[in-house]
Amino acid sequence: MAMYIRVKRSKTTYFIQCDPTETTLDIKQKLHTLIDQPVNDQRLILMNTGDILEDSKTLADQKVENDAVVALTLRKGCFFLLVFFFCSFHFLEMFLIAHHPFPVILIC
Amino acid sequence: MGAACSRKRDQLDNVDGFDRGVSGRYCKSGSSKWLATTFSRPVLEIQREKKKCPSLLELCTHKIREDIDNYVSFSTLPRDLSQQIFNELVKSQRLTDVSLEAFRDCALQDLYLGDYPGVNENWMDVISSQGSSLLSLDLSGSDVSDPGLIYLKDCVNLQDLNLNYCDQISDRGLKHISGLSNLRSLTFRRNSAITAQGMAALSGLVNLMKLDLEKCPGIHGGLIHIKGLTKLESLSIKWCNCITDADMKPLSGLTNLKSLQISCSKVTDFGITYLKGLQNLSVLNLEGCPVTASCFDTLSVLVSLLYLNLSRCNLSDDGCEKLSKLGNLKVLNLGFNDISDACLIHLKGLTNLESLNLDSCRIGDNGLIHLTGLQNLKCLELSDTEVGSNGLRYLSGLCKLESINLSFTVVSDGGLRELSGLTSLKSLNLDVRQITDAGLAALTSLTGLTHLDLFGARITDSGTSHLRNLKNLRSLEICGGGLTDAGVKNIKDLSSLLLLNLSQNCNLTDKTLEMISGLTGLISLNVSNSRVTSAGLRHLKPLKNLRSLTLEACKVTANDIRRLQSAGLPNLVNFRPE
Amino acid sequence: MKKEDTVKLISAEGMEFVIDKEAAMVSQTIRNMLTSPGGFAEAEHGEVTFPEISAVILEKICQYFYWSLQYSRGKETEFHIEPELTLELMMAANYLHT
Repeated sequence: MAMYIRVKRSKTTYFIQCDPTETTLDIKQKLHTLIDQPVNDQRLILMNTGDILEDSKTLADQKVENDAVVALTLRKGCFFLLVFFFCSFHFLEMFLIAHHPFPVILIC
Repeated sequence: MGAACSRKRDQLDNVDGFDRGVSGRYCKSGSSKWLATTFSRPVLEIQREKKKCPSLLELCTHKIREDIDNYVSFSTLPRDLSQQIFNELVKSQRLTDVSLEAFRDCALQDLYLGDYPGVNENWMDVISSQGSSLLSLDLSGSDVSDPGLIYLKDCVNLQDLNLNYCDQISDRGLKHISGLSNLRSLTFRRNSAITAQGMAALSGLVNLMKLDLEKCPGIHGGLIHIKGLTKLESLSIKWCNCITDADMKPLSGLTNLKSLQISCSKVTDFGITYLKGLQNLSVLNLEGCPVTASCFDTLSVLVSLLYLNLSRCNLSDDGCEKLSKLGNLKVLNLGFNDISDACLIHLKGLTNLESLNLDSCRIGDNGLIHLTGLQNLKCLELSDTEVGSNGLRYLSGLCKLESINLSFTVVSDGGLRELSGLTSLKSLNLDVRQITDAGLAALTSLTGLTHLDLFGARITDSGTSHLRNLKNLRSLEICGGGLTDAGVKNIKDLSSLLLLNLSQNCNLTDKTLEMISGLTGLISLNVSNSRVTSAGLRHLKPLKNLRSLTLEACKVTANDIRRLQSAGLPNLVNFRPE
Repeated sequence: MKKEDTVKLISAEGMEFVIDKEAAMVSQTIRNMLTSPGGFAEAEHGEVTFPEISAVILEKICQYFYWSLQYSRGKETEFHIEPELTLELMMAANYLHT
């Protein structure tokens, strides 16, 4: 393990061991084994920039470093948890840091 | 080279090993004794722990230490945690009278402030706020004076109090601690203000088990006040030259005494007779007392006596046949007495002896014949005697021997093969001018050796090849002048070495420093009187454990060493030139 | 990465931290819970609740676990501790034998 990242979704934080050369998709596959959500439904956002991580790019490419915080959002059926489409990045950060006990679901 | 002069180690007070106190981390009292005492285990532990990950608790403690000025109070923390922070601040010398305030009312149990800089009256208020929680307090070497001890009245559960070297404390101060009846250990060494009158305050300390009044010159007549302290197990009044026979009388009823040290007092054979009821006494130190062989009559009835120090007592062969009565002894020190081979015959029956010190006695080869039956001997001190090569054959059967000191004797190369079968040997002192490479060749079988002192021996480069098998050596001294860099090649792989002294070998150069740079366990290094220069110091950077570095009479300045210290030898505390 | 190789630590507020068992074992206390024979309930469910440890402290502790693993593999970086967390973190570290 060269590094780890913290993947946050509502009240849960996943510590994921990884390597800078791994791709976003690799990470999503690891998450799949933990949360049973298909990789296609996962979306990862690097918290300190607000950038959406692209599946084919490596963590190093996207400046995801050791101990980085990454937000996980899920798409379910016709609901999209695309919080960042509607809210400013700062709001997202606030709700994650405040560890809101319930998932905030915004419908498009 | 004159190497062998002024090297006689101080033989006084060897008993200290028996009752080392809690204090002494910085040790105002001891000079360089820290090397001897902290030599073995702690250093090895440092090495082993180097790779160990610091615990989160340690990281937090260090963090607090860094920003200690931002903390107002630790009183909300559990006691063991505030205690840990306190200890860390003391260890790193970050504790000040200001930061001390944060520890008010923390219910701390142990405050070890021995020899801590700046401790005075103003610290006592916070100290006393620990109240009934405080169990152990070490203020040795502080400037706390009599009124400061008033504060301790609230610390009713105090068990250990160390006021060594507190020269502001007198009889009046003692009065303030007279009510601390839970005290089990009280020590105030080197206090010239305490008198017999003040010692009346001790009479109420009925739970006292240990009392140390070493170097208190004014206490004559005061021991009457400890007459009732029947729980007392250890009493030291050594170096109190005011103590006389009359002072022994009050001790006669202290039947729980296990250790009594009255060295360098005026006690004579008559005073010793008061001790005959001390059936639990196992340690008795009479070093430097004006006693004669007559006292052996009294000592022979002390059934528990195991350790007896009679060095520097001016004993002669007269009456020494009575020594044979002391058959229980395990440790006997007869050093620096005027006894000869005729006396040793009476040691024949002391077969329980594990340690015998005959330093500077008038004994020679013929006397050692009488030691052949002492099969339990582990430690034999023959320094500065007339023992020569012929005598060593009598030692060859003492197979439990772990330590022999033959420094300043007349042994020569030919005799050393008699030692070659003593494979239990760990320590061998051959600081003898006439020993050469040829003698060293006889020692290659002694692979258990951890300490080898060849200080004045005339060892040359070719002789060092005999050291290669001595892989367990932790200390090595070769200072006879005959070594060059080529000889150091055989030393550089002795990776257990903690102490290395190669001083007085004036042909050693920076190349030597380069070669020993792999001896990373070293905590003490001496290459004085050599051609080492400041340019060679860089080779010492890997020696992270180095605490003492001596490079006198070399082309090295104190500033050069200081630069080395700050560049990466944080443990270096003792260096010369300074 | 398998689910069985992880353990869930739950803070006083109910916040959850899913970490590798290997990391959790850095704490002697958690190691005992997960490995002691006869088994704590914790061992079976892979969940440990800490009613007296807040989320912000528990997260810091998890970060320490991973830092510690990295340290023991030779990556000796500095572990950052926010000054305002130190005392609370110290108490938790003490409880967790960490």
